[in-house]
Amino acid sequence: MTYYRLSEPNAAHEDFDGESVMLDFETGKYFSLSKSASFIVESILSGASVDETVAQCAGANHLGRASVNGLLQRLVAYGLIEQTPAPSTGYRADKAVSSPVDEPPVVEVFDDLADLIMADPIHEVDEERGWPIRKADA
Amino acid sequence: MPETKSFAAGGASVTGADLVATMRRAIETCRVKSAVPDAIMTLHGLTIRLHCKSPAFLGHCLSNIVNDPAFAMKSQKIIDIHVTSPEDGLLGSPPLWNEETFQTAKIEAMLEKTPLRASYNDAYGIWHIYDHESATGLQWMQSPVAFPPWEPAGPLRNFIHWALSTPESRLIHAGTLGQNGKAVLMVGRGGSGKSSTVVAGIAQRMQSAGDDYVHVRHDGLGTNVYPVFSVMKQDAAGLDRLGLYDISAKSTANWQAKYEFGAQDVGGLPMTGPLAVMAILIPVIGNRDDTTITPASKKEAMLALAPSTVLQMPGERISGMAFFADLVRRLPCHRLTLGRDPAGIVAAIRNFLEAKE
Repeated sequence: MTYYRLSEPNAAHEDFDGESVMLDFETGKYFSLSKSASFIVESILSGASVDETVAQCAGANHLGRASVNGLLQRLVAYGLIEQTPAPSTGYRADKAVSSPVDEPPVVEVFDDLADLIMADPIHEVDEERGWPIRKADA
Repeated sequence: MPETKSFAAGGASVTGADLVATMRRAIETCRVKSAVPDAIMTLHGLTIRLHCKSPAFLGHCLSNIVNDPAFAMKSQKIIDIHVTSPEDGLLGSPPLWNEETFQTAKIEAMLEKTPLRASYNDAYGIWHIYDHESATGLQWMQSPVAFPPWEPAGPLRNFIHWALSTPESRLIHAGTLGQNGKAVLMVGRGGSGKSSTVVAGIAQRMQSAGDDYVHVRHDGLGTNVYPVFSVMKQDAAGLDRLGLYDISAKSTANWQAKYEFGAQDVGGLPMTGPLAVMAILIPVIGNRDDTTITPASKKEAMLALAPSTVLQMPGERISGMAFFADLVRRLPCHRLTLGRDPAGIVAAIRNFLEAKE
């Protein structure tokens, strides 16, 4: 069985009405997940294995094993989740909520604020001129 | 990009290995050697005993931080902040960071299990250090005037952020407009139109707790917003759009080519609080004459609110995400599509708030 967990403390995840937002504190990138992507992530982070998550998506044409694995591997590449040998929480299939929206899982990536965290200091943005001052720019 | 101040690198250096010990020694020295503050400032829920011998920096604090003894609450937190440089004789030169890069995430992770927080500005050689245990902060500068040009408009911001970061309260990146004690929070990254919307509203005598950074607190059953800074900023084009030609004519632009001014300078009311937060608005620059306010998803509001605050402020990031998620879940969220007419924007917000009364 394959399980994943949130890459804490570098990543955070919040769910809102079936849609979710993830943030990587290390890179400063943030992510908007579609409803189907949020369903998969919510399932995985609640302790379901990949097989159990795929089973929950049974009947959804756009959410087969390849889609689920593709999404999870993308989130691993972003550093948002990581594989773990055992579920971090006690997953109960009978507690699984709702059904997934049958659409391809989509993750939008925003890196417009990445310089805030990547630069040496934390200070005020200049929209036109960009963020001062990375060490190489100083 | 602002000019980088030069400073003599005569001080010691520090690395990750000795950072905590260096921070503890510096904080303790300040506590022992400087017991009497030079100024006391009262914000809602936070009293700052400021130890600062730099007339320039002290002046910015006294002018630009909202200070009203009436804001004191029963559970008022009291902190000491020492703003010092070698000329004061309190500490030597602030140590220079002796690694290639001050890796913010790495340093924050290292300090997470301690009561200490720190940020370092490599260009100016400035340390911001805060000890939650002793409620003591230290802004350690190379000289009394060696601070970045963005500091005057928001002095002590990191310390206020650290001190206000609790499950009930937070310093957040948002503008506010209100009337009759009820307000909206406007969230979004710089350039979204929130600041010019706040200035337009203040010029038409709406209430506000600030245009950039405000203190949000869950009080009892409601969520209130309180002022922290009194300064607003606009570039010349923004002021011209609002018909506020006097500001740019009478003053000098700052490092961002923006003019800094207070609410009174545009005929408005002083920054005030508490204002009961009724909704989150996400300003979007539209291409029509009229302004509209339409429902937005919680996800949209979270994307507009959380990253710009969580990534701009050092530390407290995980708890910040949880606070902002909770805030978004508590409040109705709307998109504010800005029309071309500033008076129409203000009227739309007034109508929106009146409908909440």
